[in-house]
Amino acid sequence: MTDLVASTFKALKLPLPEERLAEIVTLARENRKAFSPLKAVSLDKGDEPSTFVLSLIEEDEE
Amino acid sequence: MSRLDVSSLTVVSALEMMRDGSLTSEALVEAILRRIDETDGRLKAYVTVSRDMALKEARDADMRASNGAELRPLHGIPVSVKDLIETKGIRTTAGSKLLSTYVPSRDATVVERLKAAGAIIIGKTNTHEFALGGVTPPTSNPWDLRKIPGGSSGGSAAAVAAGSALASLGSDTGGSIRLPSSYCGTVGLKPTYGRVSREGVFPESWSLDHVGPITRSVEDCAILLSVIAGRDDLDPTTSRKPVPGYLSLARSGVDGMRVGIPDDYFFEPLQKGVRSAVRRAIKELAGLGARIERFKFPMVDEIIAAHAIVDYAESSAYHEESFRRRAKDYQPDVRVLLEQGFLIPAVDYIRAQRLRGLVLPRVKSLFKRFDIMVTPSQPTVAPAHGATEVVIDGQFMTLNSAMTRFMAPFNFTGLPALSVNCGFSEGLPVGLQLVGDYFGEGKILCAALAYERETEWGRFRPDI
Repeated sequence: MTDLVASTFKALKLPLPEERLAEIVTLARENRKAFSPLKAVSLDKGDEPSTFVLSLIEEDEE
Repeated sequence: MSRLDVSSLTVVSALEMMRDGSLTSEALVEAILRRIDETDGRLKAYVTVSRDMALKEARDADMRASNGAELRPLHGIPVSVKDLIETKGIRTTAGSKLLSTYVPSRDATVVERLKAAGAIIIGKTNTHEFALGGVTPPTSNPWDLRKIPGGSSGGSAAAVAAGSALASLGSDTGGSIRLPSSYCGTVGLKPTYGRVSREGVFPESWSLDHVGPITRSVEDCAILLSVIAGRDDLDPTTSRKPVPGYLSLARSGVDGMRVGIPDDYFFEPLQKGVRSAVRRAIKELAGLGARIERFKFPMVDEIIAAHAIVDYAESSAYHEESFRRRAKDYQPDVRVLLEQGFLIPAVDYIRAQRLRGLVLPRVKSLFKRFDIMVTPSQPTVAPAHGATEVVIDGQFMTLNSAMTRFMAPFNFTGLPALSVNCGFSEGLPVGLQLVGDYFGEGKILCAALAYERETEWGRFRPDI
């Protein structure tokens, strides 16, 4: 996890002071646990999030 | 002329006085400015007070009225605006060092609409930095200065409760209008997603952000909503649905209204004083003729997780460029939130957004059974400055989890929700949350007004 956090910040060219790394890793682990209810949800094919593309196209046509 | 006492004044009562000629806008603005001078050293609700500009506009409004011009819906009413919302010629800091000298050259659409309705911008109220928190330092709660006002629109709610503004505008991404309204005893409305323009308002999270009024009474809330709601071509997420007259809808009565009370999630855990105030309020609504029925709110744990993912990811996406250059200029608690957002995998964000496709139809279908839902606004009353966690019924909870617990589901689903005072516990206000169907603001205003008229809670003011 520590390597993942460090490499993500490096790839995004974001500042990450070394003394903050441990805290960020701890919080990221806690978040993974907090987000776990979402992992268990079964999402069918209809629930795709790109309906906004059509709304933008229709907006232009008006 | 005796000095005007603004402690019990509302927008409606001030407008009545101006219509019958017993009050001028200049006298009202002067009285509000005096109230700011008396209280704000302790309360710290304001970042900027636009004293000279407000007085000039008040004199202009009085001049127009004396020349026979028809009074507009908010003629000469001093309104404060959360410092996240752009105001032409008035510094807009978003509570951040990054914007400490920023003076916008134009108004946000909501401010433009307030001004067009005759309102006078009295000043800018404190926000948690970029709305990313529920504490709003350095503002205090007017009911007890040792407590926080909530946030992120904490300055707005504190000022309205203390009478240093007659009304205010706030924004709400996970409860930021309703949370401080609950803690400070004001009326706060987060409208339906798309009902009110966010153009000119610094985003926290594009798909969760809402703008709405914070007021001293339900009728005031209805008036402000009627003014700011409606399509804005500068904000493509606004709806083209016509804006009804919310004040007349609010006055239409609650008899026969079907009220759903959701399952245990919204009642466990709950501070004892909050529980008894909310139970009493539900009985009072039933006494007014509402039909009460319990039901199970769908997928709430999943919604809370998805809300957090979307909020983190969209906030960090918005701040990415400035964070790269000026990370040290963010407050430590906000910096931590943004850092967490950069670590959200894209697949998690998309999964969270896909959940909306599953949840929204289920939530929508609930309103075939009910007209509104009622929940507590918050599990606790306002905690002390510096608190990071709360203990409720023996359970430890982070303050942030407690504050967003009952509110974030309605940001994620986009349903309109309002907080109104339903009593006191430990000397602090308790909020009752009323939730409506999409574009059903009229029904929640109607229930809230009937409740407010039946009870005395809306008439109490803090002694500051």
